[in-house]
Amino acid sequence: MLTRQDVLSTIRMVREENLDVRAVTLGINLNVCANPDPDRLAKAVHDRIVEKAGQLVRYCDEVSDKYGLPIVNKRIAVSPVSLLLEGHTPATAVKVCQALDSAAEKVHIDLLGGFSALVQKGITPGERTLIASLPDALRTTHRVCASFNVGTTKAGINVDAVNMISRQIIKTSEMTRSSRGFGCAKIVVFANQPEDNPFMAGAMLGPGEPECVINVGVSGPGVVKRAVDRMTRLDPDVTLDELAEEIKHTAFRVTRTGELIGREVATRLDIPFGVVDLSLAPTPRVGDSVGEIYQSMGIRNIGAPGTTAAVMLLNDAVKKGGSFASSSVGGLSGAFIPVMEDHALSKAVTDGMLTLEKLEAMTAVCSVGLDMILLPGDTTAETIAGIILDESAIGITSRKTTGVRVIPVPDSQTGDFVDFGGLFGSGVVTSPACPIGAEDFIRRGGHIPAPLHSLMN
Amino acid sequence: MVRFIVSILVPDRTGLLRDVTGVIYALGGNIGQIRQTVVNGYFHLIFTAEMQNSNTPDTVRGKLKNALPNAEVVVQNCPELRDPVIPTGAKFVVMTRGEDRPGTIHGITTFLSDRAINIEDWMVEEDAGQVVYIAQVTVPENTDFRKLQSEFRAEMSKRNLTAIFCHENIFRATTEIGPIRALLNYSAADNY
Repeated sequence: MLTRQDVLSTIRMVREENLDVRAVTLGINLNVCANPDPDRLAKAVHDRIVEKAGQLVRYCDEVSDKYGLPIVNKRIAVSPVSLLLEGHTPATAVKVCQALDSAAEKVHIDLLGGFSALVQKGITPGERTLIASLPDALRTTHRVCASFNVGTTKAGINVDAVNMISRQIIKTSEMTRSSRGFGCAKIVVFANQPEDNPFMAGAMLGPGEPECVINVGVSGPGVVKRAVDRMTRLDPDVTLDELAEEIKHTAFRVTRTGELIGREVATRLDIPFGVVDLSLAPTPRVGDSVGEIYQSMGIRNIGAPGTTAAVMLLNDAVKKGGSFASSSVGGLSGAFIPVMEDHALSKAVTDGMLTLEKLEAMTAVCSVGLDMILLPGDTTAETIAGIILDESAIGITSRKTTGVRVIPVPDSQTGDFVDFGGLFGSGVVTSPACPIGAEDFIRRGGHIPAPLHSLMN
Repeated sequence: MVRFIVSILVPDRTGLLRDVTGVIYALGGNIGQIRQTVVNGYFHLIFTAEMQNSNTPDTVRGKLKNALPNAEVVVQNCPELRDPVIPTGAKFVVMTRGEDRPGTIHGITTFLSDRAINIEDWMVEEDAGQVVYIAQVTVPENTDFRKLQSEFRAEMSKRNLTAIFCHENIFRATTEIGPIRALLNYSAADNY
């Protein structure tokens, strides 16, 4: 028999604190679909996804009803599509991307990740093909997300790849001009990209993963925010270590919930369970914001000195609680700071309190990087490449994942308001304090060597 | 040996359990299962006790009444039940929340009873002027959880109640520290 306290504390999380499971993501390896014939390749990709993911939404809904908990997003991550494109043209890559889009629609999935290439050390013809196809591929699809890994702690940074992808980000923005460059919201450039991340837009199924697997993203930041609020209400003078302890306890419980749901869905699909990603992923909804957690902790103006320390405290406490809760922790696991998707962060940028430079500092201790940031329409490829290089440098030096998802908005200027709607949110266009001046460095291309601490053996 | 089941209802005070167990001990009895609860200042105790055959329900009741003059005491013979009355199935927690109105508990229990769902425990909480009913229940095997969840929410919404069914594993997962896999294996072994 459950105790009264067991029941009441969990019921409170479900009823008042919006406990949910943020993402159940089915990973599917597509390598078996390789085919020299473009039409057969595209059909094989489509059919495999429909076969493997046909019951995903149904099973998620059943498990959701059994536990009385919402599963907010059901998604698919496929193995890097570039692996299927050796010997093919960009036109074939676009065709495959459309097949992915069509399959996702058929199985009622809103986003599918894995139109990806791992180019941290070099670029194969197939990877070059995928990068070349990017603007057309994202212009003609709705559900497909692209990601690239341009650096690792072991390999250093592939600057040629960074330059190539940055130019394609500018082209994608232009080709999706009618939606204010929205295509770029579906492109992430990583350093140390995890192979088991369930969150979009950076989800893909890495080469070392099983044929099919379920990875889960835990509940959103609302649960943690309410836990912090409860603590500060009970004791306005609560100390930071006490807050960290409370966040740890909350992270433990949401992680356990995520693993329970993920394992049950995996069992029904008869595939292995992979990992729980501890990341707190906000949405534009009030009460579902990572920025609000910082505010509840006492950072009245997000961006003020002390903000980076608050990010570190939150990220660390979430990881400690989650890692005790489960032996299957993976993915990105920390706190996201996607500006447009988080109303408190977005407002801080709008109010001029949170700058790109401060965000970059925060990415040194958060779980990902510069995420969902609107840039002016005249932003150059070199500026974007510089942003990616800086973030990658932080990632490979700190042995952590960093990512860049920026959207150059055609014809926009700093301060313009842009609304993508839905989960992608809204915000104002912002710009680096000094956007130009590093072009000569960036155009040299080549490769930034791996840091000394990559030599671990 | 003979076994009795005893129920005692009395205004709560310190030392009640000592007084009751003192009577049973003096009669040479051995208490088996026991459960107590307090509602609105009234103490209720229910327990089983094995005693020598010379004892009868009336003698036990008389001794308890002597020790607790203002108590309502019921004592019955309690033979072992051959067939379990409690159905097997999946363990769920049911929660409703809303204004305190006459007939609410009857509405909830009627819904559960109509679907052969057995209530194992029931608790009440007050929160911000609203009443929260929480029941631990056993849902028969092969029940369609999706249908049950939606029907329950729809039925309770007619009474202006928010309502939810949650499988007990969610509570165990969030309060225990063992592997989740073991939790699911345990459920599977019991056909949950």
